[in-house]
Amino acid sequence: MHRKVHQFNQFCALALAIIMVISSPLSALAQKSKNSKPANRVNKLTEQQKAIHLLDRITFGPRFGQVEQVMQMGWEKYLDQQLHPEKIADEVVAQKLQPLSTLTMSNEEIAKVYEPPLQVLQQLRERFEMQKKNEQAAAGTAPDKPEMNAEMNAGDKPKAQAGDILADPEKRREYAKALADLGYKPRQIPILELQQSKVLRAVYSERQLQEVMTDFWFNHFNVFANKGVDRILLTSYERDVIRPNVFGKFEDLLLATAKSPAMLFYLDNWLSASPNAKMPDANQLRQMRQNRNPNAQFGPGFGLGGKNNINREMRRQENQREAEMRQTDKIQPPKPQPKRTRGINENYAREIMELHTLGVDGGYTQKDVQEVARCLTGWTLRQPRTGGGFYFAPFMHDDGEKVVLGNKISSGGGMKDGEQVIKLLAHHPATAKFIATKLARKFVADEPPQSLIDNLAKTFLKTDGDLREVYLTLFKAPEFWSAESYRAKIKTPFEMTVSAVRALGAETNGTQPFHRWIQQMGEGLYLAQPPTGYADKAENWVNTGSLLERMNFALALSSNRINGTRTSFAPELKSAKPGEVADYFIKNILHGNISPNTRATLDKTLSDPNIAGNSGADVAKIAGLIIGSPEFQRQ
Amino acid sequence: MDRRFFLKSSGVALASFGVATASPSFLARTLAQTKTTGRRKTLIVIFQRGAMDSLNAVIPYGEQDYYNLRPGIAVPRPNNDKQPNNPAALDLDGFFALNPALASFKPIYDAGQLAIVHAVGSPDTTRSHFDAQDYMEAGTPGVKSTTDGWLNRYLQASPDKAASPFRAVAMGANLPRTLQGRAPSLAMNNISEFNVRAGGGQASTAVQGGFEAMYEQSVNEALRGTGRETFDAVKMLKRVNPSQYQPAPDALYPRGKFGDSLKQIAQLIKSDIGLEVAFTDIGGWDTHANEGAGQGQLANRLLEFSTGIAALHTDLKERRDDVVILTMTEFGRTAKENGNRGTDHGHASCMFLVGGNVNGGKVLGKWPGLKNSQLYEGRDLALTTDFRDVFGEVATRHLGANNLSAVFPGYQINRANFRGIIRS
Repeated sequence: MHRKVHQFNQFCALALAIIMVISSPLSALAQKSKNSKPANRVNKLTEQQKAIHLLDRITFGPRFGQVEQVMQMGWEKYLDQQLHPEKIADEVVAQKLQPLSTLTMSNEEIAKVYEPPLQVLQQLRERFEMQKKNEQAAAGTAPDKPEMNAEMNAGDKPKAQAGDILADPEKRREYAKALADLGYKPRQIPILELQQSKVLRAVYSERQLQEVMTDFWFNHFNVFANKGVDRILLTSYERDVIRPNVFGKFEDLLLATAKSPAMLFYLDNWLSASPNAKMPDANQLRQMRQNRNPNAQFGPGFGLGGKNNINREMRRQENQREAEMRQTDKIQPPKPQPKRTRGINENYAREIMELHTLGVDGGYTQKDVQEVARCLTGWTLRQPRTGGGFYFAPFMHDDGEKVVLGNKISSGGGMKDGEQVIKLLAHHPATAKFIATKLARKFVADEPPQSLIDNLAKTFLKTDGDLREVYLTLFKAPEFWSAESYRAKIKTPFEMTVSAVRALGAETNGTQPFHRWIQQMGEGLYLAQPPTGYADKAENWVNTGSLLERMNFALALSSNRINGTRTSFAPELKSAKPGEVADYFIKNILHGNISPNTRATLDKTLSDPNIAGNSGADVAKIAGLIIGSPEFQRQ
Repeated sequence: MDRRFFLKSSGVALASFGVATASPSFLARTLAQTKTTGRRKTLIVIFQRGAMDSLNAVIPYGEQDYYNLRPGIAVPRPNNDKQPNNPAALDLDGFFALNPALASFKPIYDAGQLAIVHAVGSPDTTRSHFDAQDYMEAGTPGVKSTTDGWLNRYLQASPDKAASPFRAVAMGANLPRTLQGRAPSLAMNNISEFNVRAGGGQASTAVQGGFEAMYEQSVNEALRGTGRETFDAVKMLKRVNPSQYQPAPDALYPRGKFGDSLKQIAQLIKSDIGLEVAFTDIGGWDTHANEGAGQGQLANRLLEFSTGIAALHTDLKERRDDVVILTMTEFGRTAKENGNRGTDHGHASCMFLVGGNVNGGKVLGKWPGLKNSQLYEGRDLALTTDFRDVFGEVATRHLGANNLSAVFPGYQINRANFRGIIRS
């Protein structure tokens, strides 16, 4: 209701805006003839530009009328509030998130409902296969032959699942129904709710900087939702690992990700074991008992002590791992597997240095990768499919001496090896520089000034990696407030779609019809497959395909063609002339940031009878043109 | 006038009509509307992202070391049918054999239209996916400052005044690194949805015109240049309507994004829209755990990969002599399996080349061997062919490029290093 009043005030200002617009092409031409510099060249940001700039960068775009609000309260105060999200009330978004039940569930709780045990799936599959055999016998047809033989012709249909009972869509539906009858809900729901919550938070949360930073750090420590059981682990990963740490110490964030089931599973570290893994001795046995999580589900007999039980536990875990790994790709009928050998997996060790801390030029070698991998052996998971958590398995750990980046790590350190590595990496100067560069790129410009990177790195090292302090340096830096960085970034698809909803004052429930647009532009939420996450440079987002999608999204949004998302325009606009409607949106959405040439071009389009309309202007199309315009792609 | 990547000053870039009208794309647009593009040579590049395990794709079964190194994931020797759930490899030449999931490659190989280059890759030592893909797409191993990709530089080095906006097309939401650069290139998800959708009819035309004019005016060079390429393509696509060319009845593309992309590339080729370079990619090759052998995780990827390529080859039956399909992946994987019955990041891998003029039915390149002393750094397949020589040969002998020095700066493409991939 606030907005409506505000809109009316804006509307009263139309007359003034029209006068300004009429005079602007002339003045722009005059300037252009004087020098080759663009008409909108600014050396120092005005108060309005400062408010726009801050909102462009530390939020998901200014809401309708928010620029004026921030100008009124002063940008320093708004920034200060945003740096302390715990002090900002956030009921609206809380209410909208409330129905999404998986958001507050633990991994174990989600697993119980959304991740049927393998035995259940197996039994169900066998039942289906039996049924089919009986049906085929009754019908007198031959059973399916095993697929994939040498006579397969070029162009033959792929038969990866030809022998698979679930290749038949009809059977798949029955299978899903049978699972539902057993009380299991569709396994994609946690991710769908998470995607929905991300859109809702970005649109509605008052703690905008927290959400921007959560997005940034999730992307930095990216985990792909479609890697096997990660589909049920990301809810807690974002909620418990990323979001609570984005204003804290970098080391805490790094350590939290290192111990998170989502990361351990995604980058395979939970499987990494010393090639010489040996049976635990009495000491380790005691330790294991102490570390044991009483809530975790164990096979009968475990925890009663004795080497036999430990052996059984190891075997059981081994079997469990086998089963998990089969699940990584898709559900397949289990096949007889030869006995597994233990060994090191370097995946996480490499990425923690290359992508999470030092950066690819951070000065580490292949040898360092191997040594870090040794340090992290035994950092594993209890039954990820049941939502089991992190634990250190001494019997998987390589307890020899290691040298990481020239630092000796003495033998016998156990779990401390990994912690030492994380401390070392978290405080390394290369890490400070790498994190500083990424932040500067995200918040200032694709090619950020070196002076800014140096300053951020300095704060990082001086404050023991205190991220809030680093942000403060960043948002107070002259480079941040320079004219060069004003509107110098191109919005990513997620930023573009969400900022459009905010700018129009539209309402969305954030469900799939909305998310599909983001995905279509190449930035599906939680769907970045590689550990690098999504890129943060214009060149990765500005291309023909996704540009067209931006325009089409703008039109779909403004004409209410996205299910679950609704845009309503101020009623006064219905009777306004096309030029007035355009002025209204240029003022309230683009905040006047449009070049005279573009404006002149737009006016020509507005005179087209298909847009000017017989009975009032086509408001939706004009709004779509503004949202899809090159000006709105910038921030 | 590199318009796509000079973004440093994008916020305050020049807004001048002069720059806009002098652009090569603008010329291309006017010409493309008057000239028919006709049949032409086309290169289709497929990037297998995540590093394909070449040793389990094209198996050196003649080496006992292969079996010693991979007790849990080796593909059985050809004609070894003793293991019911572990299908045997398909013999190629008495030494190499195909993973059974690549069965649809076999008839093409036998017909002499599929060649394999083994032990090929980038000489750079990185084992980072990100860096290695970057180097391979930029075409400058070890140099990070390269701003454009080698496919784009090929387009730059072989300027075509009458080039269609569809000269270079990547299927997908984003333009891959290898096509980024000064020469106009398109990225598209789906050819049938590549237009402005404003409710149809006259209004759509008006809105599209409005967008086009606004992007033409943008002070941001990236937005302006890309906008122009977009609208040139939208208009041409509408005229040519490639969707009318349906796949040949015996060309059965696998379901999914990869198969769809290949199908659409075939439609663009058949519509004579002027396609010279097409790109698509397929992920899921990072098999660190439970890789499988003739069945399993890797085999599933190989199956989709090979049935897609085979369908494309079938679909383009009439035009095989005009088309070369080239595959690449950022590096190979460790020769020895790891502790999780998978493989870690390695060095050399292999490439597949398919086409009517491909000198097929052969596994090309020098085989370095799998003995410990022969392995790169004692762990990975060593490299005997530089990937740039493969690209160089295809660009020269298939596309007819005659100046490659600008395509691979800092590297001397030497015909003596060509492996004889393309029939001369």
